[in-house]
Amino acid sequence: MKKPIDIMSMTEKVKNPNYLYAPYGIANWREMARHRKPAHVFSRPPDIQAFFDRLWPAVDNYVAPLHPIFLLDLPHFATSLTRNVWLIRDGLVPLIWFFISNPEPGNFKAQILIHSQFEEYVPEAWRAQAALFDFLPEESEKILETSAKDRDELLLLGQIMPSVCSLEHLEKDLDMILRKVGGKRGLRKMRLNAFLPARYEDSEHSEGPAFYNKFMITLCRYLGADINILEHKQLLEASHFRTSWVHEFNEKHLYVDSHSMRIALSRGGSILILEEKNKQRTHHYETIYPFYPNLSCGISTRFEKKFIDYLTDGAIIESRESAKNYYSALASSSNRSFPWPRWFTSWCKHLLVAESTPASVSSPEAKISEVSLST
Amino acid sequence: MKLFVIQIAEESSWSSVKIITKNLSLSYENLVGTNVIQRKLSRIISTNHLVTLVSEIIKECPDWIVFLDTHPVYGDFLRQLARQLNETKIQRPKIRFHVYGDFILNSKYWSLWQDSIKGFRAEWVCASDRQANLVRSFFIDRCSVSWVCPFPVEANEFTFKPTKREQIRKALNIKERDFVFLYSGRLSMQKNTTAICRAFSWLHESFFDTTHLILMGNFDDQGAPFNSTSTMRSGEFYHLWKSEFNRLPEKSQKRIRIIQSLAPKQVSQIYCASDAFISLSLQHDEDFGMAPAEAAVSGLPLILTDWGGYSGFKNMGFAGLWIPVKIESRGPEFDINDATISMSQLLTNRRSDEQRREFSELAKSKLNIKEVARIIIKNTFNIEPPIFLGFNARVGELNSDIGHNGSDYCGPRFSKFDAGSVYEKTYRHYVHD
Repeated sequence: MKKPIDIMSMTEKVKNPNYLYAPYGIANWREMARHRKPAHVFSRPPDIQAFFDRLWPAVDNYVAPLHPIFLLDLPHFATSLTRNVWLIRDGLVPLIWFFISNPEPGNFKAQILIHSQFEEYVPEAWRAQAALFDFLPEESEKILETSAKDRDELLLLGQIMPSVCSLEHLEKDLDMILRKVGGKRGLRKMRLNAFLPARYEDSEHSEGPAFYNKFMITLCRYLGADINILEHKQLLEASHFRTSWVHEFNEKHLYVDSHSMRIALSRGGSILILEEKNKQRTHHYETIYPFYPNLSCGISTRFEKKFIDYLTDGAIIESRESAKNYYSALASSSNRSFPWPRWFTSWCKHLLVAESTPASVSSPEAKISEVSLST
Repeated sequence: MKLFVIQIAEESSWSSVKIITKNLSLSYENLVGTNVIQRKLSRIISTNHLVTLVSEIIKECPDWIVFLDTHPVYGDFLRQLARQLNETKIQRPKIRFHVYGDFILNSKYWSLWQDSIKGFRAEWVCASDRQANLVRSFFIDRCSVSWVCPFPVEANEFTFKPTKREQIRKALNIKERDFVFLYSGRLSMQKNTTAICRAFSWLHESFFDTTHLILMGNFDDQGAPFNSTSTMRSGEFYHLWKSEFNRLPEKSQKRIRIIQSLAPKQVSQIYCASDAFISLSLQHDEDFGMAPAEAAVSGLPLILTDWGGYSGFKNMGFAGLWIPVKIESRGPEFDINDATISMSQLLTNRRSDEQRREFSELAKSKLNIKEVARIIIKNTFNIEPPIFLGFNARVGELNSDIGHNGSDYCGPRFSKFDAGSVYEKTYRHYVHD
């Protein structure tokens, strides 16, 4: 018999976040700043660090309840008893490899939150201690909402990397963007902004160096060259995206929760193309947490779609859309360019959970410093 | 008289800087009796283009070259200007820099540029008296900072309209007799918005059912490195803020509303719907205060910390109350009780529509684009700036505190605040006239 997920304990965690230690209150922020310790620092193996460096700033760490994390970093924190929930930021490829290496939770007792888009890829054995999440822009009072006609800007986000967005996917997205804004005529009325850092992938498995030229030329072919290119700092410091539609070029093979997209939504941006799956989502969230400014996280413990079973040879139901996505993810640069099987060990099975709270997190100062990982 | 007015082509990501440069540029367009030529300089200008641009400007023999903001790219421009003028016998134009609150943060650039500016008649124009005092303290010849030019406000955008007030209040479910305190600006550490919430929560119970506090702006994680702490991680301040907010009595929490990420048109509507503006900021670069200026033009009485440029509004005769600030060994401080008392005073003395119109007219008369143009023209004709001799040793002191620490932040990091410290010597001008 499956033990139901303990939503109450998660709620308590958010209500009394033990890591938010502000001894003097932030009204007296100088004192607090003085008592703040640097983020918990740990060393990743060089090749994994290089992977995160390449995906920066999309994978930039941030502070939030529910402990957002990438699966590659999870083993480092898995023995800690101080956290019982982890929000998994990974895309489909690392998620698949993680579950292939760890088909059962073994000694790993914490709860994991998986993006609802990947519901069918969560093995049955994990579902008792897993839940699904979605980011939900907080609703403002009606009078303060920006009407669709007042959104006259388009903000394009993404990392120019074959592993993040292939040329095929790019064209598909651009087609949809054009349709959505009313063709080239509608586009002419819009101001285009873009934050699209390019990250060179030199792996023999990814596309050649001309990929980057092709990407930009394709973009300009569809949208024209009158695009205001933003620096990272400009994105971070922008006062609002209230008048912007936002689109991220991201196949969600490597990451599903990107820093840039979160910033844009947090500042009032509205997603231009809502995926059909999202529109039809039947999950209703059991709990909604304030997660990031202007952005909540809805959580549902109910799995409505069956696992597609890529763990058992021959069990996968080829006709299902999710199976197509599975094969497409495995055939993509995102899978071929990185040594996933080597990176994911069967650590859950062999995990030794510490019986007592580790000394490193026993002091209140350490608790605040432990909020997120430092890259 | 011919003036070349230069600004950066790419829009600043800071909304206040964007508004200030736009409005200052409009004021220069309104200078009567002058020939004003406005040019935009791209951040990514090539050396060839820069050489051509500078030689074109020199050929025009301008009396003045005015920089509407400060930016690293101006260093290359100034070097090129000095080099080309050294090769000709053309009379050197006078140079004017409109200085913002980031003068301290940009101290390293000023050090790098000073050799190119030496020999020019140059002046640094600040937006408030206290900012002028602060900036002046870094010059060998203090006359280089001789007059003050407030940042203009587009008055038509922020007019008080009683009908609009009624409409927005209805939509926000705020009763006509209720009193609304408004903070507008970034929700970051040094803006002390939790202190506003605390001051609000200490109001007498009798006020509670009819009083609201609206905080309008975005959360951000900036400000920590200035005080020698590591940069805030994304989202960290928001959660610290929330945890502080959750400690307030529930009845106070219910009366506080946060409105994030509004478009400019909506911002002016919220000003109309409010009754008083409050900001308890101790921000290190609070050289003027665009949000209080816009609030004043909207006819709102102000409650402000007596800090930096905020004090300038007191000198302009605007309606409001100023909370005393002292620099103690832990940094600048004020008593939150003073803020509660000020809030209570305004609550018991609500301004009528007629009074708000009067406040608005007074603020407009001081800050509208044409009035600022008048101030500029008067000083352009009447004041001859001295030949720039260089910055004094205090700029070096600031630069020695500049750190990188893996973050984008490259301004000074202050760790000591007691009397005689670099911080106290710099910011004492923000607490005294």
